[in-house]
Amino acid sequence: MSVSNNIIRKRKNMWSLRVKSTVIVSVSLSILVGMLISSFFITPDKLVVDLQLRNIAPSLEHLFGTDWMGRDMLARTLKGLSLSFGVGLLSVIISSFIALLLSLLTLTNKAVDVCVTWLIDLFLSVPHIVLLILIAFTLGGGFKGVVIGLAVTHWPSLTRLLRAEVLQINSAEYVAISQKLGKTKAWVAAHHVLPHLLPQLLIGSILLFPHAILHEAAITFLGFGLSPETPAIGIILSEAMRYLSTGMWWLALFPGLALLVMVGIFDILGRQLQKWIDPFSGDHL
Amino acid sequence: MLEVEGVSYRHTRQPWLFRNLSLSIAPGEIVGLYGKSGSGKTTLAQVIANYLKPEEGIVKVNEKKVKSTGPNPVQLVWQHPEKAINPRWKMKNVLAEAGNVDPRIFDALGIAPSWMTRYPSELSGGELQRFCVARALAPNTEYLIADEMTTMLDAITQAQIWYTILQLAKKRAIGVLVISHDEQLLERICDRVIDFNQLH
Repeated sequence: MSVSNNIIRKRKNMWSLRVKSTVIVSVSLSILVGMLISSFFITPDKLVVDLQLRNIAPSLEHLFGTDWMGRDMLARTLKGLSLSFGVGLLSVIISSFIALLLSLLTLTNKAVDVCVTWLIDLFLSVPHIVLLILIAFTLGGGFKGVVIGLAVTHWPSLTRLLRAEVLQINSAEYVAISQKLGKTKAWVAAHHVLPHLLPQLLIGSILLFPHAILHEAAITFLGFGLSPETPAIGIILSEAMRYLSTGMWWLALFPGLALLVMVGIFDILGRQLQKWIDPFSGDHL
Repeated sequence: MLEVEGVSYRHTRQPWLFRNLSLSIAPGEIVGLYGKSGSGKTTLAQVIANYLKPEEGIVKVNEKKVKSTGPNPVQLVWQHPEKAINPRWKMKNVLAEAGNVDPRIFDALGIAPSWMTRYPSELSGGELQRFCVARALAPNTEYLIADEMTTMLDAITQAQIWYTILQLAKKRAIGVLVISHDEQLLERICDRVIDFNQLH
């Protein structure tokens, strides 16, 4: 009895936290990569209008069904996801760069620090989506407008996080010692502060991804984002709205679900990475 | 000559820790300083080594006020080595920060070559403190402030480190201010011993 109990206990331990998170990360990464690679195989001829094949419910031939113009929804969804990924990636990179730059700037002196803090508060006090619409609209919408809008609105929360880290490191004894050994502020920033910030920056920017993608879909849905002929998820959803009442549920359900899956994957990836890089993150929250 | 002239310090809206305190250390001289816990010895050490700005008074090395940028000729060895070393750095980088420290010092302090490639979390407090001492003995150092430097070490290690420092102080004419509770230690190694309370 006790022997079999031991075996059972051992079995349970085999799935340690490390194994579990490795499995989770590889599964979600392969789904994501699958989504992105498959979009390369979708040639423009798969997206053409074919009025013979209008309004087909999901079937084996058209897994996500077709729309009122006979376009295959699976192809459009995958294309839309890769577009969202591109928009998200570009804006997250710019956003993280702004965040890193501003948080390092707080090292220079007190006045700069006050300015940066004030900027963060200013941007956080306005709802994201309002600011995003304003900026995207002013820039004339389109790909450029959306990317700039997302980049300019998504840095504050990450900057606040990084600034706190910068303050903590900058008050460490070893930083004070470094300065007394003759190192300049810039040297300290590059050698003491930056290496400490990089893991936080990586995790922070991956966790920005879901925000950026959802906001991109949101303003596109509202008509301020990407132009209507692009197969973006936001466009697909807003067009599908008009056909929902006629019973064509698949037009909104599958693209919406796909977007949700992609956003979820980024959230999972970010949190697993955080567990790996900073195992004590749960302790000091 | 390291001259501390009439310095006063207090933390914001607190009573004076010390006022109009003066003290001088000649090159190669070992001076002991003892006092009760909380009397402000560590604060004084930080003022002398230019980590804190005194509200009054001045700290001069060779007749000149110590500059706040560039290598400081007055180096302080802190009480807690684990806080004084960047936990993300390998030990060889910690030493490299000080410039070209004479490798013979490492030997004399009992630093094993294999420790160089380790991270601080892989060494004990006593082992880390040897690195802090070696780092403080950078080429530009003229005065060393040892604030309870060996309090957390065992007697043998303590003896080894002090032996090295006393020899080096003689050779390079480094003035040393030893701050400690341990009156026996001060009596043993110092040229003269000062009571902190009688300084101000």
